[in-house]
Amino acid sequence: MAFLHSGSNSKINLSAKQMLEISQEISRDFTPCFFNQKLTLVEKDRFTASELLDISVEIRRNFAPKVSFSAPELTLLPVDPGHLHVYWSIAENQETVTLENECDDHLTLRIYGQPHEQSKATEIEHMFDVAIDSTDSRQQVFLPVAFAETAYSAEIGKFDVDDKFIVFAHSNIIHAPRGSAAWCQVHQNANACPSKNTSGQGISKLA
Amino acid sequence: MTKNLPSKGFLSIVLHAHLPYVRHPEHDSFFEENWLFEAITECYLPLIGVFDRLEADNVNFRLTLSLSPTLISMLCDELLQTRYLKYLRSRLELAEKEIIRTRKQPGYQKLARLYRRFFLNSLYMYQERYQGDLLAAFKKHQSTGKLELITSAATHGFLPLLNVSETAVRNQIETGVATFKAYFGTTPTGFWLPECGYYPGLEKALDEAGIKYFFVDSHGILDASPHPANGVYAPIDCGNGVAAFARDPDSSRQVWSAQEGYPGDYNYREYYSDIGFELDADYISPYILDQKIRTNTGIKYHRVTGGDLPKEIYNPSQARAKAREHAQDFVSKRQIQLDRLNASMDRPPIIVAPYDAELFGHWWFEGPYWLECVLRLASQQSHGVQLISCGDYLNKQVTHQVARPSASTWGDQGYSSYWINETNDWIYPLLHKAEKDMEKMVNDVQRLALTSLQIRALNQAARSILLAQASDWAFILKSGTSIDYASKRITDYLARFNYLHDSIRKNRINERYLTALEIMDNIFPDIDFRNYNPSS
Repeated sequence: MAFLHSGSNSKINLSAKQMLEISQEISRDFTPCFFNQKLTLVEKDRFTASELLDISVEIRRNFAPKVSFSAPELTLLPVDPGHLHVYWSIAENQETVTLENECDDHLTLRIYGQPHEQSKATEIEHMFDVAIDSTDSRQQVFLPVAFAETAYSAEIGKFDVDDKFIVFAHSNIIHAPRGSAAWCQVHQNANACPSKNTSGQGISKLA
Repeated sequence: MTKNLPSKGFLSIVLHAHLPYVRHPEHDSFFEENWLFEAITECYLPLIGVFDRLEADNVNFRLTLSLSPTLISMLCDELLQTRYLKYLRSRLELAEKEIIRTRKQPGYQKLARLYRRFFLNSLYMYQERYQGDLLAAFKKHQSTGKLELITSAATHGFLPLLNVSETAVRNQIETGVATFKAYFGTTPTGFWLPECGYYPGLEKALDEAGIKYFFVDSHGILDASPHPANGVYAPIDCGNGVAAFARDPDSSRQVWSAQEGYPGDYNYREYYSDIGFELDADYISPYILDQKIRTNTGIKYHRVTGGDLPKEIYNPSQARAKAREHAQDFVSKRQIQLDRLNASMDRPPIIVAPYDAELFGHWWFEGPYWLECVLRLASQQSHGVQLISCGDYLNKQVTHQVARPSASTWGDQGYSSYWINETNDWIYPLLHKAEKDMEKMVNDVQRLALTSLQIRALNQAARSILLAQASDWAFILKSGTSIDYASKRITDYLARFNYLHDSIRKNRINERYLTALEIMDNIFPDIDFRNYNPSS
């Protein structure tokens, strides 16, 4: 059976099947959407795996993470009772600047240790300097055994000819783990503390 | 008939189930998704089977199960559910091929049949019994009071090294708790610190999230200040009402130790003997990576055997007998411990025995059966050992010694060195910078009227940050097993964050790209970027 359009003089003949197909197509493409989410879902369905991958690759290529700080920065992280980790960002022009009375061109870390309950940088009781031998702006710092304090802060800078320390950046304050007898034992003999999970934890074991 | 002894104290077994977010809709199939599929088949389904059998037998057990938010999200993800069924059917197909291949080797064929039954049962459990919803299975056992469910940080971020930003730490905790609440309807009382990574002061953020207790490794309590009177056998109050429980070194050693731990017994199945590495390449190719790179298939025919001897064929009956023996040994040793502790403590001792859930079934094939035997034995109370959850213990004992735990983790060396060393230290400046950028961006927009597109982009940026923070990436970089994948995950997530940050800042958000990112990283559907704010 063919249908004749009643509102015009068009002579287009449509079968029931054709009418149904047109109806379905209009429903599919022009159903009113009241919610943004519905629009989003329609949009989402249109991605193929390879389109997603292309977008992922493009973003990775153009927005790869890189360290770039606007101001000099120095960050301390706790590792264990015997070590801190430190990373920094000093602008190239700042690092290479020749201080008026510069003694040498080497950056130095100055580590301050404070009694555990104190956290104000002014209440400094101990400090020591660490020569920076890293070229990639991060380094591990060994803590002297006798240095029993657990709160640390640091500065990074250079010495001038008068042996005055010129500071480029100050760090955060951290509390390194308290060194215990058990830890010292572990480091004298790696097998002496069987309670530790020496196999580590986590999914990589599944790989 | 067993005789009940009066309880001398408590045993709290805690399983921590966690996998990183391994979901890749941008590929038709993706190898690392197998981490989830293997864990479902070998660990989560067998554990649910244990709980179901214990329930059917009216065994009065109590166990704590920590489900990480990434695992929760993956277990209820439709794409992964569909892909899991495909994976399981391919294992079943392989087992059937193996029955034919081994027809002239009766010992091996018997095992091939066992694997076929194992995969068929997994298929039944997953598809028919729980209709793909394993969270419903855990929830069911929680509702009967047998399981205490707790959770962890949103993406298992290693909190001691995220602590440069309190906001980052708080966001990990609160998003984790919110995810748990969305699926289980309640706030968890307990919290699994990723890698048991604790630093003094962390209890404040836990308290703000409504958490009542968490776990640390033994030295976290033994080195507490002041020194704890009851050692690791009673919790301490961190000073704000949040309790810290310590891992018991003895029960840990019996299961974890590579030398003397139960899983190394010669009768148990050898994890490293897998037909994926042993059979002819042409034969096994449909079941390995890209049809050419040898990987585990889950079908393993040998037992540990021991020494440098040629591997002998696995005997399931002998292995189960050994698991029963080990369960008896484990419970007896806890009884001896509790007898000794009970005489010297001012309160009932609690032995806390936490393990990675994936040890049970995946690494230690007989682990779920061993656990079932332990729970059956302990529930009889014929040993004077009473099963309890840490939440229950806190309800029974309302006051605790106030002390501050020491910074600690349960990783190698006991502190943070596994997660920050020469293999993985490059990630922290990048992570911390992104966290700082996120915090600043959230602060900058807090008084602005935002469009729905901007809100979506900000929420997606928050997801990208969280996914980059997972402790797993640093762990994998150190362990050296899937370095390229871990490295790519971090850089991808941070690149996605950088892209979104740039788009939002320039107010040039491409909806198509944003939608693609929402599809790829669809975790935490209810996330609210406004929570990434120090003042929230």
